[in-house]
Amino acid sequence: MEDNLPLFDNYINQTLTPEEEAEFDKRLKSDKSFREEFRIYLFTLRGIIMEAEGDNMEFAYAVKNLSQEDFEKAIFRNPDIERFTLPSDYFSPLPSVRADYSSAIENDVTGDDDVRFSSVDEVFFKDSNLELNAIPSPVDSNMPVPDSSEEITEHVSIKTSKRRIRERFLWISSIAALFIAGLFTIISVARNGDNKVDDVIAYYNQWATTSPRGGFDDAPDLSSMKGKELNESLNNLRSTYDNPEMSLQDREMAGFSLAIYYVKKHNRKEAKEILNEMIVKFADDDEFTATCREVLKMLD
Amino acid sequence: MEETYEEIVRKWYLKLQGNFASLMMERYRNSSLQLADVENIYQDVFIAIRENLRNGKVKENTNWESYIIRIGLNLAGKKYRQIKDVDSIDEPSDDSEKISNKAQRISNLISSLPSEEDETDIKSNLEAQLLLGDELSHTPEPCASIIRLTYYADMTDAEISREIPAYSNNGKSVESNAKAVKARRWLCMRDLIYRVKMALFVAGIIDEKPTKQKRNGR
Repeated sequence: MEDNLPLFDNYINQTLTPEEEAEFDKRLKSDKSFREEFRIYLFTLRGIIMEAEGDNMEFAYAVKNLSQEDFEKAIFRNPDIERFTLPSDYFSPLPSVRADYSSAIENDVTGDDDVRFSSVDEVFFKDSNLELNAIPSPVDSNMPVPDSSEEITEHVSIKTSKRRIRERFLWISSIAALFIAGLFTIISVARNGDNKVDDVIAYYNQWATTSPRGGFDDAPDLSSMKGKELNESLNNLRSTYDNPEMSLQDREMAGFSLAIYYVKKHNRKEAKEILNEMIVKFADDDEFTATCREVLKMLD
Repeated sequence: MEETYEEIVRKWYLKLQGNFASLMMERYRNSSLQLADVENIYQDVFIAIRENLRNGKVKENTNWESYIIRIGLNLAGKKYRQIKDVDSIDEPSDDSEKISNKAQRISNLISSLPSEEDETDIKSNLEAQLLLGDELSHTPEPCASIIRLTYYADMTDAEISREIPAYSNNGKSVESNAKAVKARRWLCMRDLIYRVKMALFVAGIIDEKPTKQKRNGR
């Protein structure tokens, strides 16, 4: 079966010679199969055109009837909505920083404000007669049109390069400053969060150690001590904890008090060290080592 | 389910953005144009369309695909392009009349086709139109774009090759890509016509079962 598509295309585009067109018309009248094929071809083309027109009208009505807010949402003006990204291989190599004619425009070398545009407003709304058919071409502007690439370079000013470099430096340093500030904020917030957790752990366990319902009736309340008194108490606790001749309960009390003291001082490292030590030292006391493990879990 | 206005606009926005970005990055690859700039320009184009529609400066039945690309290239051109020569894209053109002339010719031809009593008038057959619409919606890319740009936008093969990324940034010459577009169009149209015929045959609207043509046309 012959392929009549190219012939059909030429016919509707009126690119056939008069003889060829006459032959085509004759065949349409006499060849039913040929006619049917052409009919379906035309039917399909009409469908393509109608579909395209319908889609265009639909788009236009949708654009016109959307509120400003919904329209901006639809075109991803809302920063919360994920924006499109191209695959990395779409990016062309970074251009070298060189002055060119467009830079001359930015620096208003030509002195013509109409040439520059910083927003669509300047292009579309300045000229109230602007339509699709009347889009000004850059060639229509008052700008001189260079003849060669050398002439383009000649139009450049050194000030343009320096300004660009300064702008880029400002951008980079602003971003770096923001990053550092952000990092410190995060660290500070994290620290604050940790400190609050430490206070809760200490408070809970202080109660556990000093309460009559807890195991350590003689546990000192280090939080109320200062200076020399505090140092003496800490030393006593340390020596009690380290002395193997002291009773198990006294050593456990001393070690635990020390650990909680360090937690209150937000010295998690020391606190964990003592707790881990006690888990090993007092392994036979399941209840006590379980308590130590619980506190360790809270500190992690 | 019927689409909302927002869905329609977003669908268009997403449909054309890849092609738009590719064209821009390719066209201004030797400038300082960055992807973020392209995105801004793209959004500015849509905002401009909305304003122009509301102010009556542009018609609803505009060929938006071409319009968006043309406006975008124009906006970018003002800022990034070194002016050496003038592209046809820069020159104002009115394609709406061209489009309606072609549509009119097709409509006239389909109405004036001689027919015998036993031949189905498919152009007035609603079921046939629905089947056609279904087949058109299932036409894959780049066939759908090539077909639409050829028969609706009435663009030449060279113009089409510059609009479709698969052909515009493959490093080959415009002539070579134009030939490739032409060859691809024949394949696309043959496939589409075959599918349409098959759908019409299965629905009992036409009597002749289509046969799939091989690449050499036999």
